Amino acid sequence: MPWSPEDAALSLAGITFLERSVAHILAGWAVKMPEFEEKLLFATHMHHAMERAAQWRSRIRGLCHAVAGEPCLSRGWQLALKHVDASQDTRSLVMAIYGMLYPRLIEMCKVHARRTDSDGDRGSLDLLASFLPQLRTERREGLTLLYLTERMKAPTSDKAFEALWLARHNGEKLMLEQLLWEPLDRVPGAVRPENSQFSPSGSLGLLPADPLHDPADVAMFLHKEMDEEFTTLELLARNSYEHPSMPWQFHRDVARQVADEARHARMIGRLMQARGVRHGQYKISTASYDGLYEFEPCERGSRKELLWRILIRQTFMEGLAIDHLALDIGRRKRLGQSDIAHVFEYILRDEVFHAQSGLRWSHDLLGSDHASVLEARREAFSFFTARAESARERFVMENLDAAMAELAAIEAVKKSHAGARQTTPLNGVGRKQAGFSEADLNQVIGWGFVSDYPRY
Amino acid sequence: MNLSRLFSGHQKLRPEVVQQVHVNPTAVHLIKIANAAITDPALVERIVREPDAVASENNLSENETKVLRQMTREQFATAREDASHVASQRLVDAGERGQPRQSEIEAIEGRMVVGRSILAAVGRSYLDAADAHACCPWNKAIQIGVNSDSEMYASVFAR
Repeated sequence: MPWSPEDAALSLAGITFLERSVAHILAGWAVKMPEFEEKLLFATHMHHAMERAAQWRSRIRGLCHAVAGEPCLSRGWQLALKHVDASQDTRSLVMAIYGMLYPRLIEMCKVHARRTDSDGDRGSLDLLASFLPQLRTERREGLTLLYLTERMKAPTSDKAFEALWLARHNGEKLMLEQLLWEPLDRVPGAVRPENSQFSPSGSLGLLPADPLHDPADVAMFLHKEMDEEFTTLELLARNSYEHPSMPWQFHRDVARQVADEARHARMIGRLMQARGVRHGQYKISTASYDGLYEFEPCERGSRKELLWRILIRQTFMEGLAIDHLALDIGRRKRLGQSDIAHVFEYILRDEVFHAQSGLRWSHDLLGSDHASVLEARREAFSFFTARAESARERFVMENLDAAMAELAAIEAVKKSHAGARQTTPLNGVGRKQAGFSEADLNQVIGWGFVSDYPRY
Repeated sequence: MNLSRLFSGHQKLRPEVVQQVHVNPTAVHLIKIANAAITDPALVERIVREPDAVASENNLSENETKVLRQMTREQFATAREDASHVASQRLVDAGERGQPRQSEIEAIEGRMVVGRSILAAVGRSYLDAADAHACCPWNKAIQIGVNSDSEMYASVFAR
């Protein structure tokens, strides 16, 4: 006899929790992985796992709606998955996810396909047909990470995990929402490949004099952009990992953005490769992760900290990206740099969504009170800039020669555009599509980062 | 196109990091002038009143002259107070192992005057830093969070 709807829902609950847990673990570890390729793969797989989990969850609801009940899983599931998250090193983690979790996930899907009612549960079978090839591909991709850094000696089994997996049906019964675990760590600094060199704290970082015309400076500009894609990927992933009790839609939005940043990094990488530059060839910056991870006025791990990260990165910086990308696309086209313009066209589309998501969730965190959002943004921005300015003073006072070199670079920048201050006009259409209000726009105009005229 | 080559294998293949190079990236000439002015009030007056002449006499570059123009009487006075503060802090850090010599305090004073003048020439706000970037002006205008070090100067510059 094939499974009943209740049996099918219970089977899907296990699959859903495994998928959601994989997304959770990948989100927490992306910033801790040293190799860029690992971060990109984790970001992409996190998004896929989150989307599959959301679709499975919807399917479970379809199976359970008529009886007003949802299947519960035992706490043992949580203990087994949490054990993977607590892996001691990146080698063990990669092996645990792709060598132990994915095979089990694939097997659970196959069992479901064999045991469920082929007509009654057609919706699940259709999803399985779509998801199984994707899971196999992801497993294969994940295992290739072991080749990246001579980690082939990774253990292929983990006795503690095996024991926990066998005992997963033990313990109290919990709803899916209750099973995800709180973050196991804090990661205040983004991990980069061994021997990477960084722009020092308080410095202005790379200062390409003429990023529009000079080929070497264009390459350096792209190098800077690449830093931003990775740090945003990492910060957003941690936003999801550190706040598992936020609504599922929050995690879906974040996972999408994390995967978007990975796509952007690949596209920028293509532009860099065409110009003979590789990431790490200039000094690397992780400032947009490290400088936005925590703030002294916010309790560590608090919703206020999450709010400040969202407000600064997604509604201030990515809002400005909407303006600046639109400006740069036009300039690059006029200069015949159609490959850069082409990539930026795609990135601009995504930035509108990212800012929109930031606006949505910052409002959600503040009870949809727009005045509170404006005030919180002002407070976060004031603290962030004051801290940056303090770091800047310290750097200059302690590194006078380096500060003089920066002055020379700034003068070179000024000469490249004949001394005129470059102002970025507001991208009215893009801002409106993202959902910025007039009050939001007046705030950023007032801060001097963008000009109100000409608005386009 | 093999994109993995762009990102992977950094330990094995990492090339030398390209450093940005600019002409005459040194503060040594300015420090020398500031140090001399610490014990020479007349030189302070000349720097404040006719910086371009002082710059010319000392063969300063265009960028060095821009910094010299930012030096003020107040900076010299404030630097004196701050240098004493920094020196006493260093004394505490050194565990009372030795009193800083007057020449050491004066050297700190000179460096403080130059540092603050560079900040004034470049601009000290986050927006100034953002404007210094011809591209992506909002992103990481100032590097923060990486290699953060001691808070020694924080108390001084909090004033």
